[in-house]
Amino acid sequence: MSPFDCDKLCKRDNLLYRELEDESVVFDPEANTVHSLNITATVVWNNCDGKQDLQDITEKILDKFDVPQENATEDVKKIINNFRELRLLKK
Amino acid sequence: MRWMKQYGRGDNFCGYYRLLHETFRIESNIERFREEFENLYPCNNSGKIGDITESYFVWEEEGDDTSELIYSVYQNNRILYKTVDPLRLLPFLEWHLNNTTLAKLDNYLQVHAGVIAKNGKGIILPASTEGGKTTLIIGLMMRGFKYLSDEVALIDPRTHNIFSFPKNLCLKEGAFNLFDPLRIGIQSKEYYVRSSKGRVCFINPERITPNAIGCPCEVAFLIFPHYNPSNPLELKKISKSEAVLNMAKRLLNLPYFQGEWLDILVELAKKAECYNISVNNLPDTVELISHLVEER
Repeated sequence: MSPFDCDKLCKRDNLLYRELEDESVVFDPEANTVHSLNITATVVWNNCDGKQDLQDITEKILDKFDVPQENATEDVKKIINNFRELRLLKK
Repeated sequence: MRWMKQYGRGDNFCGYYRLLHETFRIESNIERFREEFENLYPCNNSGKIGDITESYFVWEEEGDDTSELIYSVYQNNRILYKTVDPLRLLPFLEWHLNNTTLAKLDNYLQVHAGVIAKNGKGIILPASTEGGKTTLIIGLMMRGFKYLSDEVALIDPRTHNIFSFPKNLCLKEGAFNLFDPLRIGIQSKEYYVRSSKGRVCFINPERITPNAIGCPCEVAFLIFPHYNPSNPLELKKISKSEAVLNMAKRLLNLPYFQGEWLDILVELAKKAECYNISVNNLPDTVELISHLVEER
């Protein structure tokens, strides 16, 4: 477990977000970039509400999708890392 | 020896030409230029002051230091363009007229894309500059599709309908020989030179098919062509969020719309079927898209 895994995850305030069917798009006006989120990333994004950490969000994924815990944890880690790299989350 | 058109000074002429709702006044001392321009733009013989969007002077003159002829485009006594190659004049003016007209259409969301329609169903084909948009559009027009644009999709932000920007189609040299029935290309001596694209020819859409221009319509398909001759032809459904992302990358007037553009693209994607198409040859691609549109 990395020290980051216990952090409460929270999306930045000034982003534009729209859902399309089960997926979504996020526009970052500061970087002037658009990101497309697949169904899993959309669930993760919606749970980055400042109250949940990686483990809480993994539970949400397990509730919603029929996947082994190991895969869910790996997927959520990857997605959170992507969000961090793209600076879409609050520090 | 390099082949050149027979340019030369004639009587000065002045004409008024239309592109969508804009009227352009062109004055020139190059007789050949008039013929070429009138093949591409609807002309009337008078223009009312106040209705004229821009006035241009297209002039052949002798250079100061050499006997070489200089070709210049002026606007309001300001020089816009100067060249020793007359084949570059028309591409420059065509580009300038398109940009001037598009600047007046900032109330539409503008996406870099080709646009066609069939039976009231609009198809947007967003692609990069070298993506083969014009080639594909000419192929589809010869198959009965209506022309809206080979360069810019104009999207009404309120209804999300698509409007035509029926500029002349600009075909690059590599595709000249694909359309034998149109008799275009080097042999017909119709080519010009555009700085960014090399040899090009311009085709009035009415030359491809009568009543070529389509009416405003709903968008039924967003199809993203990717030209790659070594890949098989393949039409693959993509998610609507991916379609929005790919459309957003090709927005031309994003600052005008601030955040509203995202809602427009999302609504557009919700109504449309979204595909990537890997293009390796024209006839089969035209067949595949025709079949897809006619099936819906």
